[in-house]
Amino acid sequence: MAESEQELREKLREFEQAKPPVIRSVAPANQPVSKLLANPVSTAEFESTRSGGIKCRLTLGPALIDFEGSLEETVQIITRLTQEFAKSNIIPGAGLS
Amino acid sequence: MKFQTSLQTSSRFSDVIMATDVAIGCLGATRLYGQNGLYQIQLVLAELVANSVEHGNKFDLSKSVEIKMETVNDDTTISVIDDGPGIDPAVLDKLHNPESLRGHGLHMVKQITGNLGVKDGHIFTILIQNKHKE
Repeated sequence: MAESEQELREKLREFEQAKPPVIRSVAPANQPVSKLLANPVSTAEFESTRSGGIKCRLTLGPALIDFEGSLEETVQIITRLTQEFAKSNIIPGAGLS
Repeated sequence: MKFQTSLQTSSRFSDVIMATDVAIGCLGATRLYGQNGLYQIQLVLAELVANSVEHGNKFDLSKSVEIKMETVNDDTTISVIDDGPGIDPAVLDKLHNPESLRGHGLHMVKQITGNLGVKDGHIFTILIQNKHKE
């Protein structure tokens, strides 16, 4: 498992467990909480849900992505999005740092 | 799991192609669709955005194209919205003429997805069901 993936999982656990629901901005990317969020995700917001899951809003280049799932689903989606775009040149500027 | 993506782009072809690639990449990240399924969705999406740029926005670069996707469980709804005045649904039904060189794009979309909804003449919506998973 990538070290950054574990970092992200630990960070997201705070949101999963937060009650009442809280919103916190984790990015902009100049203050990344992990290498995983730094690139190509440019901003990320997380919110705990009453059902114990996590709501997530990411901006990734021109895309605004919203999803809601468990901690594991959230980690998987962010990891896959990062894998999908980090080494591509689809999003200008992604994969360079 | 519910997964939503929205992208707004200018009508410049390079921008809409990038937006389409990003949209497909986001959908790929859900791991709901295989390579073949994603390829078919990309074909359909490319047709819808090209239609929006050419026929909806009439190549006006100041007008935008929006792609919205929502995946709930195994089904994905994709909407492409342009800034144009909208097409009359009655005209839309008559567009496909097998002997014409034009008008095959939306017909292809219907053939692949089995559905195509048009709202207000400028919001084109398709439902991708799990038969496209492979």
